[in-house]
Amino acid sequence: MNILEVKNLVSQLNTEDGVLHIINDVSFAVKEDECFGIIGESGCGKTMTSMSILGYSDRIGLKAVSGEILFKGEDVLKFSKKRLREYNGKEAAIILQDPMQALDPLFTIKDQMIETIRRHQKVSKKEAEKIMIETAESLSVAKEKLNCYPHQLSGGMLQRIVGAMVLSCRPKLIIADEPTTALDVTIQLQYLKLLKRLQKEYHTALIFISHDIKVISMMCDRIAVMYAGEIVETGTRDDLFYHPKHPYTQALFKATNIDGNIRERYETIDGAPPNLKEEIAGCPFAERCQYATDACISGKPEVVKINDEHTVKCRRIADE
Amino acid sequence: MSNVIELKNVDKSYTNSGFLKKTTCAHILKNISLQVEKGTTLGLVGESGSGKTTTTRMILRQEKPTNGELFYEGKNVEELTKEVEEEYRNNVQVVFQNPYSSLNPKMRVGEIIAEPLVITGKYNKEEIKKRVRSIMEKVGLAQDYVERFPSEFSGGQRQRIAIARALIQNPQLVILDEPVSALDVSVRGQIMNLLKRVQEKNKTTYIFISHDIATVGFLSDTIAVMYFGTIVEYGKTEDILENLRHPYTEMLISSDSVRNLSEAEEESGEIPSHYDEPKGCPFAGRCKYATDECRNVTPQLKDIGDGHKVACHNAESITLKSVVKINRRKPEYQI
Ligand SMILES: Nc1ncnc2c1ncn2[C@@H]1O[C@H](COP(=O)(O)OP(=O)(O)OP(=O)(O)O)[C@@H](O)[C@H]1O
Ligand SMILES: Nc1ncnc2c1ncn2[C@@H]1O[C@H](COP(=O)(O)OP(=O)(O)OP(=O)(O)O)[C@@H](O)[C@H]1O
Ligand SMILES: [Mg+2]
Ligand SMILES: [Mg+2]
Repeated sequence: MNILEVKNLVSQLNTEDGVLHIINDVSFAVKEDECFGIIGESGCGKTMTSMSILGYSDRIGLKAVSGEILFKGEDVLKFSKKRLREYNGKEAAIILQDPMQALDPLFTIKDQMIETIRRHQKVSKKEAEKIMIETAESLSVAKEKLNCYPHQLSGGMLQRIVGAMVLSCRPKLIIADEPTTALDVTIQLQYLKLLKRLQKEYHTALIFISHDIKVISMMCDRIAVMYAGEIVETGTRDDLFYHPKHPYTQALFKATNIDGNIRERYETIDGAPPNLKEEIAGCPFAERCQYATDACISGKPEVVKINDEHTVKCRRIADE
Repeated sequence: MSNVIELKNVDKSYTNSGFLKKTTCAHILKNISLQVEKGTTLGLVGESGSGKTTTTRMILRQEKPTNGELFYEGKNVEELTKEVEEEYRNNVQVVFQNPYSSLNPKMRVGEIIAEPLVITGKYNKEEIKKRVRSIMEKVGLAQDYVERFPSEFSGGQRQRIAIARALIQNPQLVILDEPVSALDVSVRGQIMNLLKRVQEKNKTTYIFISHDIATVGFLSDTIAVMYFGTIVEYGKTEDILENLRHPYTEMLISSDSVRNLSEAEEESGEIPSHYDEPKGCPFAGRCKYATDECRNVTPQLKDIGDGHKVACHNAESITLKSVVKINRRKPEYQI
C-alpha cells in the first residue's frame, strides 16, 4: 500500500526577477513501512518537494501548477486550512534541515517539546514529560539539557532535539531532511537505529534526504536521484548502487569517497547545474553529460523501465 | 615556526542562576592547550557537545575564557594594541556551524559576501564587484544570485554564501565549523579543493571542524580529538588517523567504517553529565579497556613521543587499530 503518491508535480516560485521552475514533473510513491531515500545536488529541490508534501507550499510562496500529492488517496494540494492543521505534525511531519527554524529561542527546550507533544497527542503534562525524556535519552541528550534554551546547546544537540520532537509525535509519514549532518558518527549510528526502530514499531513511512550516500544506503529500501527539479532515476538500493544507469547517478557515485580513505584531491563533476529561470527543453543534465547528443538538449527523455522498481530518464538507455 | 593562534590552559564554565532555582555551573572546557602554525590546518573532531564550537568562540573572542590565555602571533590578546586588535578582527574569519542563523536576513547576498572587503575601506566599488563575482564562481554560486536574500536559498547554497564571505579578503585565519556538511559530494569536493588551493597560495591558516573523518584528514596537518570538554588525543594527522592511541579515537574512527546498521555496536554506558561530573576519565563509562585507575584518576594529556599526545592511563599497554588509510603522499617513484 502506498501512503504517499506524488504525481507529475510541477511547482514554480514567483520572484522579483521572474518565475523559477523549481519542481519539474516529479513523480514517486512511498509505501507504508518503507524508508524512501532522496539524494541529489545541492539546490535541486529536495527541501521544496518536502515542503510541498507537507502542504506548506502556500506559506513559502511555491505554486503547484499541475500534478497531485496524494496522502492516503487524498490530495494534499486541495486540503482546507482545517484539514491541513490536522495533517501537519500529526499525520505527516518534517525534521527540518536547519534546527533553529523549528525552535523558538525564547523558550526552554522542555517547554517547547511538551507543548509539541501535547498538541498532537492527548496526554497529560506528566505523560508528555515522560515521552520527552525517553526520546531524548535514546538520542543521548542528557536530561538536564532539556532545561536549557536553544543557544545553550551544541549544534548536534539541537539537531537531535528537533528529531526527538518530531518522533515523539508519532506521525504516519516523517520526512527527515538531512537530520544527522551535525552528529559525530557514533551518535549518528544511534540516531539512525532509533529512527529505524520507531519506523518499524509504529509503521511509519520515512522519506530520508541526505548527501551522505553511506547513510542513505544504510537506511533506505528505495532511492530516488534528483537533479534540477526532476527525478532522473529511481530504484532499490541494490539497483542504484550496483547498476546505476543515469549519467548523473554514475557521476555522483564516482565522486563519492566510498572507502573513507584520505586522498590528494577530490573528484568533482565538471560544470554547474542549469539556471531555473528558463524552462529546460531537454534533459537537465545534458550540458554536463559526456554522452549528450543534440536530441538530449532539445527534447525531454522518456521514463525507461529497467525492472519493476528501477526507472531512469535517459535517452541513451532508451535507445539501447 | 610561528604560531598564529595559541591557547594555553583554557577553561570555560557557564553559570546558570535562575530565579528561585539553585545556581548551577557547567564546566564546558577543561584545560585546553592548542597551537596552530601559520599556513597549516588544525582539525577538531570529537563527540557532539564536546566543546568544539565553544573553543572557537574563545578564539573569535565572542566570549572570554574563565581561565587561561589566548595568544595571537605570540601576543596575549588581552594586551593587544588598538592596531593589532583591528588587524585581528579583519584577519580572522569564520563559517558558523549553522549558516542560516549567521547570515543577516535583511541584506542581499552580494552585500553579505562583500562586507569583509568593504570594512577594510581599501577597495573601490569596481574592485569589490569583481572580487564578489570571482569568489561566487569559485564556490559554485550563480552570478544572478547577488540580489537575492539568504532566505531564498537552499541549505547548501547558504553554506556556500558563508564560505564565500569568509574567503573573500584572503584572511589569515579562517575558522570553519562544519563548512561542508550540507553539500553534495561534488560541490563538497569543489569546496575542499578550493580551500586547499587558497591555503597553498596565501598561506592561510585554518581551524577545521567536521564530523566527517575523511574530510578532516584531507585538510589537516594536526588533529585534536575532543571528548567532554577535554582534548583526549592530539598530534599529526598521520598519528591520529593511522596510529591512534586513545580508545575514544578508535571508537570514533571505527564507527566511520560501519556500512550496515546491524553491525553497529550497541551503545552502552552513559554520557557524562556537566552537572554531576564523573570521577576519573570522562570516557571510562563507555571504554572497554577501562580499569579501576581510569574510574578514579583523571588522566593527563601526555606526550608519547614526537609531539603525539594522549590522555589515557593505558595508552602504552593497549593495542588499538585504525581503519583509515592516507594516500595523500604522492607515490615516491613518481618524478
Ligand atoms: N524564496 C526563494 N526564491 C528564489 N529561489 C529559491 C527560493 N527558495 C529556494 N529557492 C531555490 O530553489 C531551489 C531548490 O531549493 P531547495 O531548498 O529545495 O534545494 P535542496 O535540494 O533542498 O538543496 P540543499 O541540498 O542545498 O538543501 C534552489 O536552487 C534555491 O536557490
Ligand atoms: N551558553 C551556554 N550555557 C550553558 N552551556 C552551554 C552554553 N553554550 C554551550 N554550552 C554547552 O557546552 C557544551 C559544548 O558545546 P559546543 O557547542 O562547544 O559543542 P560542539 O563540540 O560544537 O558540538 P556539536 O558537534 O554538536 O556542534 C554542550 O554541552 C553545550 O550544551
Ligand atoms: Mg535542502
Ligand atoms: Mg558545534
